Amino acid sequence: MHRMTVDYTRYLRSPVVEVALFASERIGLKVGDTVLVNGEDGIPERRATVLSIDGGKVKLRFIDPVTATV
Amino acid sequence: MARVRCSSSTSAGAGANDNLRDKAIRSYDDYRGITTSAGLFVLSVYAALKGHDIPKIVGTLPWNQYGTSSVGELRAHFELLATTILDDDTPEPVDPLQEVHFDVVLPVPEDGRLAVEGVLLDDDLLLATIKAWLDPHIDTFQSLFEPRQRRYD
Repeated sequence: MHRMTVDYTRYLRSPVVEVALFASERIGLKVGDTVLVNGEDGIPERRATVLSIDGGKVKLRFIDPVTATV
Repeated sequence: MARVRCSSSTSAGAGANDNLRDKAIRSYDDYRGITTSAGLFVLSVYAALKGHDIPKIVGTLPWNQYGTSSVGELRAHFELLATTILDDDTPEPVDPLQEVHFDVVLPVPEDGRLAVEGVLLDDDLLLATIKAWLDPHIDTFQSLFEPRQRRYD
């Protein structure tokens, strides 16, 4: 399963986010895949579905809600 | 005037620095046209201004760790830009913080390849070069926000 990092400064609670992936991170990735989004300090690891791939930009929809303490 | 930066990393150290560096690289193309350079490598900070004190900022953002620095300390090393994240998906609780959001601008190397949009996401060799270029600047940035503090300390 692909693993990626989201900029939570921009997308804290949004169910849909866009990430910029390096070439090595996009290998084999396709629309509809389920991916893991890395957890961060205070934010748990989450799962998301790939909605679209446009060059290096990938749009995701989170499957699970944010449960971080804010 | 104090500034606060909320950590986007699980801890200080090399792994945290790699995470910050990669975030700066991933957002490079988002800054095309903001200055004369092709793009920018930036890191977000929030200023304790306009009624947003440090406890309020730290309490609004999700990260448990944070550090503070002063404008003077930052400007001794980096350029600062007052920027607002324009995005319909910006979460409501963070949105009021946009008026005190600043970007710390890391140096951009002279490399004509950076003029091509998306090149950092496609060219692994250039990506490695840029990572090596940014690493010492990330170290400097992190050092300005030491010691790290816990949100609920």
